[in-house]
Amino acid sequence: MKRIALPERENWREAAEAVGFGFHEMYGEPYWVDDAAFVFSLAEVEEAIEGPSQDLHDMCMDLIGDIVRDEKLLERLQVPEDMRDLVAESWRRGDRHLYGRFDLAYDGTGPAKLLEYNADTPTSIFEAAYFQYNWLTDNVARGALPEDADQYNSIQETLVEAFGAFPKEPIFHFACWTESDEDRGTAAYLMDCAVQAGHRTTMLDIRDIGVDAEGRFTDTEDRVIDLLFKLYPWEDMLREPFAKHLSTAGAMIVEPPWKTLLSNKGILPLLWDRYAGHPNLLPSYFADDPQAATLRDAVRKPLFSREGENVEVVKDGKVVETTEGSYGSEGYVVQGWTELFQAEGAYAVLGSWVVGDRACGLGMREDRSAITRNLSRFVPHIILE
Amino acid sequence: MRRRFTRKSPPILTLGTIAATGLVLSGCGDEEPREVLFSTPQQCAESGIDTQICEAEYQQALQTHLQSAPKYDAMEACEAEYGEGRCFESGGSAVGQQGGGGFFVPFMTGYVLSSALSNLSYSRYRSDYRYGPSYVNTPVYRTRTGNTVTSTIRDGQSVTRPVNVNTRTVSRSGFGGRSSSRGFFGG
Repeated sequence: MKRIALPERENWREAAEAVGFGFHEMYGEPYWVDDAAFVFSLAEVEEAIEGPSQDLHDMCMDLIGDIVRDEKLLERLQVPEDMRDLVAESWRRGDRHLYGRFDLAYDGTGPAKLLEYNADTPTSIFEAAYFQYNWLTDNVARGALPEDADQYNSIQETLVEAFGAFPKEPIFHFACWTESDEDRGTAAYLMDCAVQAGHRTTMLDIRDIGVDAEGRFTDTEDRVIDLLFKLYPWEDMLREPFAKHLSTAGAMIVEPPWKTLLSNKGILPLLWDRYAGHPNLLPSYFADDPQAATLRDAVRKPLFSREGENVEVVKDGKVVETTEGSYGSEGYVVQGWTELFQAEGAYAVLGSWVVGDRACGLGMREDRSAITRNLSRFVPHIILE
Repeated sequence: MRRRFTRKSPPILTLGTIAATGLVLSGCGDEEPREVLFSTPQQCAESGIDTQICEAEYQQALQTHLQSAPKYDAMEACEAEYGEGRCFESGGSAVGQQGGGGFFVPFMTGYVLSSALSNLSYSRYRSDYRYGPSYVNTPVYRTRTGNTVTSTIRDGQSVTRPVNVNTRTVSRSGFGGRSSSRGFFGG
């Protein structure tokens, strides 16, 4: 594993804008990096990333079966009491899920370590699946990369295949916070994949979802919503006014309610409890567990947090770095510290994609701080050798 | 090295761009005909569609209903799905029906038409619309649990599926309130 520099593609900004990737700059900072790449060997990808991601996903799926049977664990994960049946039932029914992203720490040596599982509302999939792939084919075409340069990326074809397994008859509604370019772009990209799988689709803002007199969800044209993709966190939906309609609305929702268990940082101590010593896991405990104090170098994270908010880094028992934010009221977990790959003054985190139940691709993000935030940058990767 | 994961040609975007949602959202959709559910020809006529059209389409829906309604061998099985007193025994001419034995089907509870009908006279409806590409006529059934479904015949079997029926929204903004201060939700 290494980070290389190469000349940026001329006109890549125009190419990005042409496909609607306006958020290649965010918050006034560059987000997409066109003039660098991470390089892996095929063995590194297969043995350190792809295989472990598949194992971790399978372990997570096994764990859910335990959680939904155990009221204490549902309490621990802060699933609201009146929503526990909904979550458990969605698992027992086998509600189909679509995608998730493991964030892994890996520096080319030793096993990759699971940092967290963004299993409910992951973003950066357009960059990983589509734009990163274009970057590769462009660079091969202009001779900047060798003909046989590969990329761990069969994300889009796997997405189209996964969408193909959802019923085609109802309109597939895509709901997100439409004012966010990144969220809208992500939802639009997934909608495109659904169209390629043969679905009729439409997009609406999460706030525009309505209910009719019978408690069914409706769109802005007063049509009943039967099939809904939502890029909006379950932990919020379960606590909002329309939560009371979820069990009777009759809508199939993607990701399904049981995904709230996996996107929860509480999954980290539960995994460690069940698979202690697993090479791809870091020791993790709920913050109120006395054993948490045994981790002298650690990261403290809220159960629910997006974009690296409200995270604390502890070294030798002392807080050395913190981020602000609006999360944390539901509790924290403490996870053992691990090194991230460092180059050019930046820390890199691997985003390992699982679509359906298959580990199928990689997107790299780097940040100047060890806590990956929403100012992180996306850097493409290749496989050589 | 053999490329294991990627092919030479990059993935495509069917919609052309992920910004296309601007169009999807604002929608020239207002002009497009919608599918509208009516329970009775009277309700259809009250919506502004020509009375004769409403009646003719109702008869058409009943015909389709008799051919493609979900069929059950026993009254109990039908009522379990559609509710007590909501099924009847049918003998006749159903597609896929062999021999003389009766079977049980739910009552049709409504029919779905295109809103394009509201701009048509009966004569234009008879001459053009019924044979046009936007023609819609679908009988619908209401299940015990309140879902509205349609039924089609596939491989000799009737298959039911939910429809995105039109309804009346009584409340909105029940999702999206908790984290409105954040401005982003994905991660």
